[in-house]
Amino acid sequence: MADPILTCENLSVGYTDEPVVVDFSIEIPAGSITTIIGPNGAGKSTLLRALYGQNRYFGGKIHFAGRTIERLSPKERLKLGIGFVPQGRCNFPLMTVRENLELGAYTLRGAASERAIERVLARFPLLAAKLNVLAGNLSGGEQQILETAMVLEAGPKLLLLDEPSLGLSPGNQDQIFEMIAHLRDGGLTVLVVEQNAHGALQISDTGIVMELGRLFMVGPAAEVASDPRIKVAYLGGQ
Amino acid sequence: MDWSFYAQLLLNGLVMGVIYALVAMGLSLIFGVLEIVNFAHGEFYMLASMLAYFLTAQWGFDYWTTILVVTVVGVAVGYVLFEGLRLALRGEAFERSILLTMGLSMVLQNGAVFLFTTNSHLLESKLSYQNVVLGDDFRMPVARLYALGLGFAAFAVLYLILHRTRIGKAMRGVAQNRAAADMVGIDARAVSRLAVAIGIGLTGLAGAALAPVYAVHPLMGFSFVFKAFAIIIIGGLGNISGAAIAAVMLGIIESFAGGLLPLALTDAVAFISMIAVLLLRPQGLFGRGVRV
Repeated sequence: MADPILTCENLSVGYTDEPVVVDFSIEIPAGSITTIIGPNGAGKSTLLRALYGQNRYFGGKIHFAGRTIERLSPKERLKLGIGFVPQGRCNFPLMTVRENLELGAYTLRGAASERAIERVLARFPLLAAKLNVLAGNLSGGEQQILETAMVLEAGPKLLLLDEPSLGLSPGNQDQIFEMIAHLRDGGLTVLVVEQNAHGALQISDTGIVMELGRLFMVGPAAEVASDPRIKVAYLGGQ
Repeated sequence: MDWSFYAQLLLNGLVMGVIYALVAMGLSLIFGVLEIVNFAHGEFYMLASMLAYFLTAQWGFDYWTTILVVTVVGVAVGYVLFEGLRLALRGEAFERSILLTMGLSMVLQNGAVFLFTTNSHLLESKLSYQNVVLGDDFRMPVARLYALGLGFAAFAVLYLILHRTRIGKAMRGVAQNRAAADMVGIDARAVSRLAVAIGIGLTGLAGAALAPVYAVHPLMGFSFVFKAFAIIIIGGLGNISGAAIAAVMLGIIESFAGGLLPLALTDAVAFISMIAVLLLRPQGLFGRGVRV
């Protein structure tokens, strides 16, 4: 297995007085897709937000690409190479696709920002065809792709995706999973939280199961998918 | 009544409309980035007028210096206001922001009454008696023309900032979706602070530009904020250009209503328009319906 790009050691994070995610340790190898599944309230989204520095830190360590990052702001983490696409629609709905992409390159300057926009447009031709459409008028799947493209402009090494297939039609969900697999093939490390456990585990290298804020199980995605307990709980098996 | 009467009403309406636009755009900017209605907004307009009065009448500043100083003070007050609101609210409850800004409004208003009494002050300067005369009896006071020009210039500058500059686009971004702003690495706090500073600065400019036109008194700001809010709703919540257009329209309609209808109806026009717009076009005249 490749060297880990991200390591959590005994991480505890949450929002107000009590940590939601407790004593969480994990290693994410570079260039892989890892899917986190688990019931509602298990702390999956809380964990992703914590990796991007958006909630309250209680204790433990986060190492990313050789640095300790648990005290850094989201902007600093983005600049270091962690991109986070939150759950639900997360773009600027009253701006055009072009303006959204311009803001996606907010941490870059001048020519670098132009290059970043061209790079993602070459990668996602469907956005190039809709540059002057308001983001809010795109379909759900297109908006998810736009949001991912906006984050990719900053050139992250690790991409955190929170429920990318949420609310999408089955066809659009497949499109999103295909996109994630392509991103990994391009060298990116992806950490996904998914309700569609079946679809996500199919493209993943590693599966993580969380329950009640703790790590319940971790292993190769195929192993997690075939574990009888997981089958019954998440995959609709008998 | 001949053409000059109507032309006069139109000019007065335009001037008032442009002033409304400055105040409403400021309120709209602040509402956009902080998601609170600043009920003290009218008081900043009043204080700006007062400051302009004292700068000119007591200390002998000329017109343009006064405008500049009051606007800069407005921007500085905006910075302080932002940090104050941030500390006082700590991201909490919308209701609290209403009480807080209303309380601030009362303190500022009654403080002004205490210090300056409720007397109206008329700002007299060299500009007061200058007119551009057209035809036989159509007179355009220079102070009004300047107010008009300043208003349009400020709108143009704000529009360019919001649509052409990086930081301006970031302001619109923060107003539309704060989580998305975080996602792309925009420092929402710095951007919001600047937006509030510009918002109060615009209001300062409005107060300073209008001080030589109408009498200055401590209660002048109170009804203003409600009218400005009506304008934002008519123009389409979150649409700053829409608010500016609605403000100018309202200024003109009010001016004609004041000239042709009983005086008491003038103030009702804004709210009747708001109710009519909400009934017929709930997203506002220029609100854009977007499937989200």
